[in-house]
Amino acid sequence: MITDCHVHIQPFELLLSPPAMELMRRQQPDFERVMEFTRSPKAFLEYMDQQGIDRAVLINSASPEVTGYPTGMNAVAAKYASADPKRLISCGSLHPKHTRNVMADVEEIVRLGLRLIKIHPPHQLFFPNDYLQGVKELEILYRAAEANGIPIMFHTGTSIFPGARSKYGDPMAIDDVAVDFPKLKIIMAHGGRPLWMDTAFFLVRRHANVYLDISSIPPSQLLKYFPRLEEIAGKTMFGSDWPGPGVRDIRENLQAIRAMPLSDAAKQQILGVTALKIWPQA
Amino acid sequence: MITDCHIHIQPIEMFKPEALAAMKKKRENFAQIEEFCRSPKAFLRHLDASGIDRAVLINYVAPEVIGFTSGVNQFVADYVKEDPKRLLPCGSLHPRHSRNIMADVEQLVKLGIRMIKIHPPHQLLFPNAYLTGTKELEIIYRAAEANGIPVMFHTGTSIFPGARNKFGDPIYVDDVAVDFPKLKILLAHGGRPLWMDTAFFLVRRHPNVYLDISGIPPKTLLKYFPRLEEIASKTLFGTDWPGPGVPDIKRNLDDFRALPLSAGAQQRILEKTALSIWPE
Repeated sequence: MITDCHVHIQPFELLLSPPAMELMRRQQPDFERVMEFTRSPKAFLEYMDQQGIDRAVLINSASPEVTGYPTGMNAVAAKYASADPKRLISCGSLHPKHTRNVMADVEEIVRLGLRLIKIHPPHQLFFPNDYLQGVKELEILYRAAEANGIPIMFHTGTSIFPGARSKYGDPMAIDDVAVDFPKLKIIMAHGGRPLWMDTAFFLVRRHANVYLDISSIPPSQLLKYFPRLEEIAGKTMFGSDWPGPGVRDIRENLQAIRAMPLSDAAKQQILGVTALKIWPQA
Repeated sequence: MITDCHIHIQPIEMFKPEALAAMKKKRENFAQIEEFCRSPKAFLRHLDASGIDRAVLINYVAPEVIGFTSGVNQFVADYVKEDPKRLLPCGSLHPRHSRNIMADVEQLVKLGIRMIKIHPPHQLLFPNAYLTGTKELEIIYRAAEANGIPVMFHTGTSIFPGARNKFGDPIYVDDVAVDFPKLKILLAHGGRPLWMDTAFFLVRRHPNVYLDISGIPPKTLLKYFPRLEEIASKTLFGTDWPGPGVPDIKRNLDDFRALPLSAGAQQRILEKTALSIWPE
């Protein structure tokens, strides 16, 4: 049971910002096929079969200012995954600065049965711990996610999208979240690459509720970035970030992980066991 | 046409005693440096002897930590009159030490200042503090952008008494590059010795961000920036002489030339990038 915990299948035509769309088109040779997948879960499931992926977590996050991806897409995300809930794991979003009624939006997430919430600080333009500075919507969101057993994934590391602000990508601000919400499962996407891998490694070891998603790190760099990956394999998940910039092919990524000098047990944990703990089979 | 983009020719009499002591430490020829700061003719001869064609003369306002007042701008504007082709004046403003920021910005433009230096660990502010209420910074950046004057940020730590190093993390320059896309930004010292990866990221991420290698011992340069070759067209040679740890311009230049970089990259770093920023 192989899970790719970080795939971007979302209605990209709603990425209203032309530069964001252009970056994607330029960097993704399979652009037209990707667009087909965003319309047809069936086509995407077939693609997963070819790639050797059993389950995929479908990441999206509202960031009207930077990528242009709008709020209000949670129902669309839930509907797409409902085509095969065993294999497609839904992810939703709530932007603290773009919600008129945070309680209602949180309720909708729970009602739709979304299985992850994605926060993207460099695109959403706030720090993960901004609830300490008056952004009460964040606290309400974290509290609800914790109470309902919905994990939260944070983008960590830089972003090269036009308009992204990378200061928000330092994972250190997540330390507060892990302390304040000890039962909230927290996933750090990209392990802070390329600047803050040590911080990410520390947080995974320090907090029982913090996990690592290795997506978008080229497998050839992974053990350079995380030389002690074997030690945290039980809290690490395979993810590709496909079709994001610089990620050509899921299968290639998967094969590269399998070829790495890690124990078989560690590979199993990273490719499937950790994800099964977070999202048990539906 | 070799440019040293980072030389400190400054009004010595403005130094606070503690800062002056840090400058004099381990330096036997300080009298010579004082002479150069008084006499552009003597300094130009020294540049000849060192193999440097042009020098950017870094000055900045930092009353609390170093003692420099806004008088540095008139000082450097007068100093370069000796040979404006070879001596490029760099001036500065301090948001908290300007009574009329619009008038001060205008004065800088009128003086023909060719770069503005911001020194966060000595000026005690973050480069992006305009986002948290320091409107003067926004006015400075806006004026620099509009007038084609580059802004150099000190990045990395400082060991002067009273310097505060949290301000030296280059990540805060990311906001400036996003908000002022036509402003040419130089990262002095590449964030050394703590934030080289951040500096490298910013140079690659933003078309308007450049690297000044001054203050990094050339022998350590490729350890700090193993992929320097890739960003050579956005990198400038500089020494930071006579700052602490930089004994000699010529030795620095010789050590740089001995590095295993392609001839093309050497030429870009020593000459071309600076010419693209400050044409002859």
